[in-house]
Amino acid sequence: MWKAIRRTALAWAWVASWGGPLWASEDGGELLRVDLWQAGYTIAVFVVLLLILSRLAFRPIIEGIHKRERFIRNSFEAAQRDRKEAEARLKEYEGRLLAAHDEASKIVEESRRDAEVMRRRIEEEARRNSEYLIDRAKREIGIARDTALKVLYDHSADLAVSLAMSALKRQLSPEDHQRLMLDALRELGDQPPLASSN
Amino acid sequence: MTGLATMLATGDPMQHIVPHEIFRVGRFHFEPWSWGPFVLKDYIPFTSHMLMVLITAGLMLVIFPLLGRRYPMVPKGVHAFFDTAFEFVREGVARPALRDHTDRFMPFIWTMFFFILINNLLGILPLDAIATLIWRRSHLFGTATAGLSVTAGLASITFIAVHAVGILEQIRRQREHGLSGLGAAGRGFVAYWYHLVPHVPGVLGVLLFPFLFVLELIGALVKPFALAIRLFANMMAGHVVLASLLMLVPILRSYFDWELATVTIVGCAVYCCLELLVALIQAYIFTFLTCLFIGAAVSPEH
Repeated sequence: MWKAIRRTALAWAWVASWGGPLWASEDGGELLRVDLWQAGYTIAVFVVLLLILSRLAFRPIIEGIHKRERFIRNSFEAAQRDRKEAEARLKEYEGRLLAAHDEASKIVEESRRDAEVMRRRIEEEARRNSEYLIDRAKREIGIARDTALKVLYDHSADLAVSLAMSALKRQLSPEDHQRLMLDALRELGDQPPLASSN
Repeated sequence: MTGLATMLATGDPMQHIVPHEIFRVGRFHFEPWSWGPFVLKDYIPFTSHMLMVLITAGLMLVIFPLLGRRYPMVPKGVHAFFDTAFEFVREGVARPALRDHTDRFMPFIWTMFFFILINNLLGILPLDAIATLIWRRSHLFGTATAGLSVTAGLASITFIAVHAVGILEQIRRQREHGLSGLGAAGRGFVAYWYHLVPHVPGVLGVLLFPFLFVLELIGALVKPFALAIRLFANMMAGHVVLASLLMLVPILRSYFDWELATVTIVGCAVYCCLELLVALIQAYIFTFLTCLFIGAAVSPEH
């Protein structure tokens, strides 16, 4: 272990001894010296490079970047405008939707009321129709009863006349016949009505 | 890998960092001059770092005009990749410091960022090792940003740009106040240096002004110096460590066979990933600080 460390240290010392002083090298290129020709050359190359690149490269590049920035800015502004517009439109549509909802509720309510009114009207009409039908039926029944009574009276009169003729064994004149019939009717009218006719 | 390790083991780790002269251009009739770290030789040495700067410039001249030819509204593929980088530099690096002035300076900022980044990334590629294996010619390539001369050049550009922009801004303001021509230029120039000093009210401000002005001048010089040293030191240190680690491989192999050597190689691979991160971070920091300095020069009231 110590042997290895000693050997490594020796190796480093060997390498360090090669380097020599930092400020001078074998080829005469001195590390901490500023050769004005080299410095001037660097400045000249840089200036020429700057002039050429400014014209041929960096100006178009910066114009391209500006163009892109303008495009992005415009797109951003347009997007913001569109967003505001969309928000306004959304609010408007929400308002409209709310109004439509209210209107629909009103319509439904109105329809319900109309339906209720119609139902009542139909019920009333049906009730009136039924009452009318009942009344008519009653009237027809009354007429039928009166007709039936009349037929019954006539038949009863005829029967009474034939009974009377048989009893008297003689032929009645028309005047007698009429007088007898009127008497019979009068008597019949004085009698109480039949239970079945009611 | 053995070949590469052996090749590396025969050299000096600093040889992969320092600029190497490839050929010389011209011969001038003046004595070589030096002052402190600055050296002016009587010839122009075309170095490996200068070649890397040239390669970087060539790559940028090919890639970026092609990208800018038809810049799409919705980038895809390669455009999307570079668009992300452009937007990152514009919005993440420049905008916080430059605010409304951002787009005025974007060509400069982009050039600076990609110039440093591509130089840093090219430095990570083992171009020199490949060239040595193919052409048997070493030290053709290197890491330009690991050379103080190149980073000093870049920092000088920032220094000049910052003060030029600041003075021009002051001149523009003078023109807005109705002045024109030399009057505006002169007053703008003076106003810029005057505004370097923070405002202190009263007599104390008048008394402190010369001291503060000198301090600000020193600060103005220190800023590019710090920029140059930071980029240089970070890029240089990483490459020295990497080269040193690789040079350990044949030595460790001779002592421990392949076990420790393999660990070192894997460590180097991991360290390369870290270097990738350092390359990005250093490009970011250099550009960000440049933006901060320009921002301060354009808006001295802040």
